[in-house]
Amino acid sequence: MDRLAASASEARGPWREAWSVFKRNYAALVGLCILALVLTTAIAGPWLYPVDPFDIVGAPKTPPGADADALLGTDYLGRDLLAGIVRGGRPTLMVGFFAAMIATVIGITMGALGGYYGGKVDALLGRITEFFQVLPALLFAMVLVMLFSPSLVTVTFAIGFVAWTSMARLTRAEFLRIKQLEYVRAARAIGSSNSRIIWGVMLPNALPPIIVAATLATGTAILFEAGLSFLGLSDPNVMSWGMMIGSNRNYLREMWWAVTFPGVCIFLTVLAISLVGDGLNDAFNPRLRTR
Amino acid sequence: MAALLEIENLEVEFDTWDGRVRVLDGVSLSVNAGETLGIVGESGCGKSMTALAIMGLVPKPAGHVTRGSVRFQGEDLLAAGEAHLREVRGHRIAMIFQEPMTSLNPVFTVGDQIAEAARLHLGLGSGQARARAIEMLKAVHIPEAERRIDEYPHQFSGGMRQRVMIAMALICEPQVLIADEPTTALDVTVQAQIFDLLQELRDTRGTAIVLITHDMGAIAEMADRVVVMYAGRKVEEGPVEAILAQPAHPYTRGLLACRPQLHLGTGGARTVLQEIPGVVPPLHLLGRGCAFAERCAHALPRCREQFPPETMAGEGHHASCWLLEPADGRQAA
Repeated sequence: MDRLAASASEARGPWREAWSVFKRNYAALVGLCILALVLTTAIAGPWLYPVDPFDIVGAPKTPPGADADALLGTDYLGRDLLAGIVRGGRPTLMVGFFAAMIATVIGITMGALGGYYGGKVDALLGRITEFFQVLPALLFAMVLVMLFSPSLVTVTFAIGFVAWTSMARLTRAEFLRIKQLEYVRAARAIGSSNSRIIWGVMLPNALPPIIVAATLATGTAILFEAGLSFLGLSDPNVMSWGMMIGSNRNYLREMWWAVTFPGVCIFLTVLAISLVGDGLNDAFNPRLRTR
Repeated sequence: MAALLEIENLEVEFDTWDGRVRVLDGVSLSVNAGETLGIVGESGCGKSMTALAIMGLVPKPAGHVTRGSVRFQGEDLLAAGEAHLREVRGHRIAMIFQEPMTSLNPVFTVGDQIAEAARLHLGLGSGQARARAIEMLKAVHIPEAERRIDEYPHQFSGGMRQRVMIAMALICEPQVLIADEPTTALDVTVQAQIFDLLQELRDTRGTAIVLITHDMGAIAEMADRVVVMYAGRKVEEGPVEAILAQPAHPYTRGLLACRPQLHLGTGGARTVLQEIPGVVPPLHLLGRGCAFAERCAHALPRCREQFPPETMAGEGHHASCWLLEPADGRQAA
């Protein structure tokens, strides 16, 4: 019987197996392609299209196609929108990625300690989580950004700081489940320390849903950044997609292009991240595998 | 000679919704080097809790060890600090579990998991630990150990996984191996293989084994001495031959009678399989008397009043039953 099992999945780890499920999911692959395109543009774009997005290159409010120097048109100050799109990906993705990472680290720590130790530790950490959960997230993030003046770093921290509660609850639930499993008892029985059991034994088993949630959180953080920018709370020295929408929002009716292009970029990026997240969810969730 | 592992008067209590429940009540037992001690009883009688108490792994915060001592090589483990206990666990006393399907971590290779204890306790580098793990896989008779060490638990069958668990437990050459129903989840043929393996390892390495089971057949095959537990108390203890041939406690007799017999009845008349009527009573409803009295065919009025003291039933053979009291004028049949 072990022979059969062995030949069915030739010496593959669970990660390799997840990938083999993932690559059969076309929606997720499309998402991955879009994401790869966005990432490539964000990384290599500034060299391929070396125009400063703050430079005024032509007449204000030029529609797309009218000026060969600004293919996507210009904004209300005459700045090149294509340059903004090309440059804006990097800060947008960075805010999304690092904010999601901050949220994940805080969430995992709170959830893992609460779920593992239980009792008073769990009660205390649970109350703290609930406190953050009932605060209106956008408002709280706005307050944080305004307290420390808007910059890429403060925006990232503010988003990470308001977005970790769901991650904490997810991690806690996973830890409560895994704590009951025999391999955790077995780890204790060979003399592993608490920290070794939490981070070395239980966390790797809790990771799949956390990775999915972290992926989706990246998308949410990008939307959050766009929201803050729309309200004028973004780093004034960095051209991000959100900031492009925010600075042109007063001219929405006269020049659809100035908000549409960055909006489409945000939409596609978040959609791609969601598709990848769903793909990861299917790949990691054995109950959905038989579909 | 002092016993290798000695439990004295151990008492463990649990906080439950029904209040505080005593799951172990005055349990005493001892294990000598190279010996196999069997602990038998029905589910919920405290077998596994005894094992966890030895390892210092009584679930917290609900569980409390309220009395007694667990002495290993003369040192009281209950008084020891957590850091010292971690050093004992897996190194001096190791444990294998009932469910081989879930007691291995699915995200690591079996080699990593076997080597873990060696890295932890023997301070071996990863290369040495790996070599040691391959050695252990060979010792538990897993073919192609060099290749299979890099495989994951899901690529192993149940019996193979239990072998891996045994390899994991024995890599640091512990003095005591606690096997908590090691074969319950396995096929009968595989059970026999695992028992053979445990016996072989005991004989070659001198590891003392505490075998926890509800299977009298396993006891007959493996154990040198037997402790019978019921509702958190030890009710009988003795050499395996005495327990099997002259069980002194009615509960032990009941357990033995519950075994299906394999010889075919002559003339086709099969004997009806006996059972012990009733179930183990809920622990929070235990009175002062013998917990088995409700299910015992020989119960005396006294049985419900007072728990019987340990009475000699033979050489190294004791049981807690009023029927054995000489004052009662009746010896156990």
